[in-house]
Amino acid sequence: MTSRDRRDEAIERAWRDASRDEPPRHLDDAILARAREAVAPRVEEAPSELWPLAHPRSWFMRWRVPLAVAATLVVSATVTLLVYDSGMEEPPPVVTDRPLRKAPPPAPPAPSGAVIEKESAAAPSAQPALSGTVAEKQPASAPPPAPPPAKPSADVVPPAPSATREAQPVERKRAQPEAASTTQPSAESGRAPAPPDVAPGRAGTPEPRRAEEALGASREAPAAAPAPTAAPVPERAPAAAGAVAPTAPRAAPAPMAAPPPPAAPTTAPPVPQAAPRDNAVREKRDESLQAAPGTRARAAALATPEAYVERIRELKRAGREAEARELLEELKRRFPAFELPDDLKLAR
Amino acid sequence: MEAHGEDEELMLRYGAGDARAFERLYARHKGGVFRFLRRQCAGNAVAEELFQDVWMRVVSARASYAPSAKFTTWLYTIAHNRLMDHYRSLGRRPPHASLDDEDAAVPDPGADPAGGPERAFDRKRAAERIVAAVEALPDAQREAFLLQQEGGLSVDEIAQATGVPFETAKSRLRYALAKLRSDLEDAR
Repeated sequence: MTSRDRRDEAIERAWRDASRDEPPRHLDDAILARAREAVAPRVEEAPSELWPLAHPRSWFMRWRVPLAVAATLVVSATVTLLVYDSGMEEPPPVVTDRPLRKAPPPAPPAPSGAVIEKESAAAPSAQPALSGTVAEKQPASAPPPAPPPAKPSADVVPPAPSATREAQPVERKRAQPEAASTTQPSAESGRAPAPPDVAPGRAGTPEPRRAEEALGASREAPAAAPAPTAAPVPERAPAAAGAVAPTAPRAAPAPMAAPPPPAAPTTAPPVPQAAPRDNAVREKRDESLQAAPGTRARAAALATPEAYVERIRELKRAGREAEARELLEELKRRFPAFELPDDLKLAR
Repeated sequence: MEAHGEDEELMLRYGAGDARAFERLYARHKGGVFRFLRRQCAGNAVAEELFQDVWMRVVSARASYAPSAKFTTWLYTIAHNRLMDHYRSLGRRPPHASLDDEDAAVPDPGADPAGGPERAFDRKRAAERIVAAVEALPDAQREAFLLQQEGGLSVDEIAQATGVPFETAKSRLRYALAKLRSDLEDAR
């Protein structure tokens, strides 16, 4: 060891002797406390059951979250109920207006069942057109896209049934001998009876001539088409098909006697060329037209299955088996869930 | 002065949540850090503030601490940086404290039972001389001397802590000792 090293050691020793100061005690405590606090488990990490002890919180702090959630739920439920109630209070839309608006504007004097019948027969109109009937000339002027059939709702039953239902007895009387044994569903099935408030103005005063034409065309159909089962009744046959519709399907299967396609009433020729001119039939038709109010009342009376049952029983009692069967079929279609009484079951 | 690797282990344990490891670490190095700061600050209050800041930085850096270097090197690097921040905040180099106005800086003469009053007086005079000589050193040389004496750092570690090349640190240390030798010999 050199003298220089010895002198350095002396300096270091002298320094160590001279410099012995230490930090004050309070500084030690503060630093150590901060160091312990830094590594101490946080309150949030403590078990949940220790929370109240670790942090006694105020009432608001403890309940603000549940209260906020509850308030939100109450407000949401209230708004939902209000919206629902307001929606329920709205007046039901007038369904009868829709099909009338969609339908081509009919000629003012002729809102008869014949026109409606043409509309209802829009589906089968794809078949070859007839010759010599009213429908024969109408397809040419009819709008290419057939209007969608109206819903089979009771509200949309147009006034046509009033005119055609009256003609039904006449039709049936003629058709019974021919097709009494057939169980082919009539187009009347699936059709709701006209409600009492259905456009009485239009239904009550059908133009007799139009009705005659329609009836004439439909009457001609059975003669031309003796195979009624081949005529598929469109399932979506609108209620607007009216009571004349039963005759239309019978006419449909025959290519020569297809039901008149839908056409604007204005395009229909006023006098069909091939319409029958049977005076007897015309008389009966006139009678049936005069009985329109009674038919409407009957349609209104058949709004429930029970009314159907009563009516069927009346018909059976009166010996009008064919009509009773038709009405029974209609009842089964309109109210498939309705359980028939035993007497009617046996009648089937 | 310290067991190699033990400080690093203690710091790692503290980073893992062992508060007692920090207590041991603090007890081991608190005096050196405090004296390092005390001899380079104008007053005791400033030294205490800086001292607390240094250890708080150690506490804050516990999670990111990696024993890539000796713990003392890391610790005195923090102290050096904090001291530089303090200097920058002052805008100029503050005057150094003297032994005359700080009782804590002067060793208690009565603490040495082997010496009599004369010898105690000589010791006090020797301490005053060397403290005065250290304070008279240029800043960089004084810092290098203090890092060696209080932190027990080697020349390489001094260079690392102060951010200067090895040769620079070595020169500073050599000049500091030479000046102290000269001052102390002149005082005799």
